Amino acid sequence: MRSVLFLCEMLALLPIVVARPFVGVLIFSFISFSNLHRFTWGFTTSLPWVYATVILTLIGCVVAREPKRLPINATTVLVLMFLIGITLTSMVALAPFDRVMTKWEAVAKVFFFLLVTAALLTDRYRIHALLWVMVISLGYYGVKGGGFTLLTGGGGRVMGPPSSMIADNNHLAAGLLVTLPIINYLRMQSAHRIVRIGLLAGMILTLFGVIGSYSRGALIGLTAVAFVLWLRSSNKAVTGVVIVVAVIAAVSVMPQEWKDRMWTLQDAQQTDSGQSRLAIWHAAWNMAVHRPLVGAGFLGTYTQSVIDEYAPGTVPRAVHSIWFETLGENGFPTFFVWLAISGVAVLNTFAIQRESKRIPELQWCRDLARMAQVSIVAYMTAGTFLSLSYWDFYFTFLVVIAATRVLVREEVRKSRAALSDDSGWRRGPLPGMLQPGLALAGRPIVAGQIPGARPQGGGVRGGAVAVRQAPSRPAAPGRPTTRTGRDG
Amino acid sequence: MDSIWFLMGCGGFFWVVLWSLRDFSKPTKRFWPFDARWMERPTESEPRRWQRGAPGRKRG
Repeated sequence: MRSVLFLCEMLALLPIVVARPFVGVLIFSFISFSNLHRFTWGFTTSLPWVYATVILTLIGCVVAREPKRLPINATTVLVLMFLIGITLTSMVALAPFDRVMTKWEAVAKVFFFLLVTAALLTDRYRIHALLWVMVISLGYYGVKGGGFTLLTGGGGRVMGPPSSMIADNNHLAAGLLVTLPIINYLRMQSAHRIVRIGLLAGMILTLFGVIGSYSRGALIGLTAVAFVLWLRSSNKAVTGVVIVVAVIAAVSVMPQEWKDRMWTLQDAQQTDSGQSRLAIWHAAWNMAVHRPLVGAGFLGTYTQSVIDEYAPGTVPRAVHSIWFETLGENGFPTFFVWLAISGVAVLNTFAIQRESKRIPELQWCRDLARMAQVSIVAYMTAGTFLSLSYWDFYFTFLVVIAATRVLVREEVRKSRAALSDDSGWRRGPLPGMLQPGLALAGRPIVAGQIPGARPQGGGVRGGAVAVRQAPSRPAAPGRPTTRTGRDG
Repeated sequence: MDSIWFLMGCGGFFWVVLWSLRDFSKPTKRFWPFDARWMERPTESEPRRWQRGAPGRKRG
């Protein structure tokens, strides 16, 4: 039954992709992030949905008239450089070639499609739609896992979808941590009260899902996320109380087994898990030092012969650290490119906040930038103990930030142009009448109309009014102060 | 229960795609699942009760 449902949905949506390639981005993201087709338990589990979507999207990019442009910015250039880097390191990888190629294909597919995503994220509506898909994809497991944790009293571990990048409980928990600020962003941006309440409930359940994963790395990540979320919030008192109450409530639900496990963080280096992590980090570092330009290639730390060469006696396994994984597999140059993608994203968030400060309409960009900073910290912190170096969700989010920066730049440019156009004596508002950020908003100021002025003496609503003083009181915060003629 | 949740996941995604396909340059839809208020800050589009005059409250 699920297979039929999923098939019907895909058959309904895939033909649209040719005409509207952005729908292909949404489908690709949904399938890649959620892997929901794995839960159909039928013939649709193994069908190549992602490849079908990629091919149709590329056809759509050529055929459709939908707006698209590949912005040449630091993020897209770095993604391209990273693609070249992993291709070169894979050609000289030490692990068996067929296994390396399988991994290369999976990673290259993700990073190639990032460029397609960047080309199609041309406006706010698309950014918002993609963020909703991201939240639905991961929130699916967060809410479900949170409910499971509550119902069982933390009796079982919350796991991710099988055969996906977040299948492991640690990976899922890190993923949920990255998603939490995005859910909060959408909560802030919806005018529907029921949606805001629903998203708040989703955040709380996702928090329970993180705790219920029994991941110690995620607990460290959660601490960092809570701190940065509090730091970046506008109302620190309320946010602080909410965070503390939510975390205490979530922890109080968990059984003693969970507390014992988390308690081992005190002497993490002495535990088997801690020892094996340190050993494999050492092995990855050795690979990078001995082959600084190319590393050992994909799956180097999983291969016994490679481990024997660089860290004899170490058990081959996952690196369990985004830093050492990328460094050991790809060498220093590609590692720095990989790191720079996140670095540029951080710079983008600060630039968005700075550049959009005077434009009220871009408040959503500032909100997104603030929450993005929390997400990036979540990934960096939780990822220190996980192998999530090439996680598509995170890098798609970085592309979303880059697209937002492009939109902010365009809006600022338009605003400056509008400001210079309006500087003439005929069209420009009188001195002292320009409210902060009004003309900068890029909205045309119609001759004869005074922004924010209210018609007096039965004046025509929204019509031309005589020149008079600027409004004596500031417009109510709930009103669109920049919409000339609609206020009155 | 799991199947219902699966249905909601697929349905939620389907809604987002349909929402993204609408023409936002036209006035917002009356049918709220497809209106543009899903991406508007409440303070910008939804005046607080006391700002627009709560029922039963005299405006000064």
